[in-house]
Amino acid sequence: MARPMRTAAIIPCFNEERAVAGVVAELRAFDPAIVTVVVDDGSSDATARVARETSLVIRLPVNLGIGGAVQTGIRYAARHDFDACIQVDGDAQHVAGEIAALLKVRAETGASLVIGSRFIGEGSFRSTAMRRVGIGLIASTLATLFGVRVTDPTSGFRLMDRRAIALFAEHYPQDFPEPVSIAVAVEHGLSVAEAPVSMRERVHGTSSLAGLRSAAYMFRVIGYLVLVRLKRFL
Amino acid sequence: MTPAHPLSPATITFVVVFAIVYMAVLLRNAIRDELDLYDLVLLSAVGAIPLAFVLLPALAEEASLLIGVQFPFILLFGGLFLFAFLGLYRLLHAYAKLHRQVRVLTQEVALLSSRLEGADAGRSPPASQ
Repeated sequence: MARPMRTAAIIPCFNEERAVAGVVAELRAFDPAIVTVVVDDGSSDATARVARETSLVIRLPVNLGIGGAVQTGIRYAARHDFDACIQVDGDAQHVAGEIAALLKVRAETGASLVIGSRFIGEGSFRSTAMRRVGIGLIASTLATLFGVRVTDPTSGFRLMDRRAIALFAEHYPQDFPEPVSIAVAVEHGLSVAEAPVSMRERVHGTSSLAGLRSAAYMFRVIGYLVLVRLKRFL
Repeated sequence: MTPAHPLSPATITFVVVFAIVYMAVLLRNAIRDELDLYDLVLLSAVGAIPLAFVLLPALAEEASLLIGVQFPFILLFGGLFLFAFLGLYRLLHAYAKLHRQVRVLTQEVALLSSRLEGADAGRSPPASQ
């Protein structure tokens, strides 16, 4: 008899003491078998202490940024032989119930990396014009350079299978990891798919894609995507 | 060939003294393993290039004519910039490598710490959770 799929939920957190307990509880309510792994990215608040009451916590002694934090969780998943891991933001934007949509697309397509997209399906998410332009340009660059069509390349809600876990445990981009990791996956022969999901509005903090920063973000992401593409020639 | 801009004895003395003292300090640091050989060569260029220009002015003139710059000092500063950027390149390369190593070490420390805390708390491994 095949053993049940073992899934880890990786929750990168930086100063999320107010939200992290709710995120863990929601994941447990969705599926009690999910192993929640809170990666505290050098928070200065009580994130680790709060999370430790209900979840496994990996506390980074210094802040590595989202790429370093997520990769720490992925390394944990790789070493503990998980079949899949799901990245869930620690700010409660992601809805645990939508993991079902990721799993469904994974089962239908066999994709190694399934991205939760806010921009497909019913009630599609509406963001600012600047962000939409930026996300559209990044998606176009991914399509042009790597032949992969995604609508929400900056989504941090995603499912990785064993192949993706093995790849990202070793090669995970540290800058702009969400869009660049899609390129890395495609370059290593992994398939990528999207699942329609809904997300909540951000309650605390601000997006890194706000205002003029979104233009700088967009150009830097495109630069990193070009660099990933150029690795073919090395 | 006579140089277009002859240097005064004071200038020559200043450059020679500076180059000798500067390169002696660098050499001492290299002997003490505080600089590697590449750094020694790159940093020595700041003393060696001006030294070559004041001690061998005719050669500097020939070199500037050969390369096509109008004044030898342009060649001098060009050479200094080249070595400065080579040094900067080496520094950035070393920085990027250290950055990667620090990140991996930080991750490993966190993973190990989590494992130890789990062992201390008698927590069962995730396989059986």
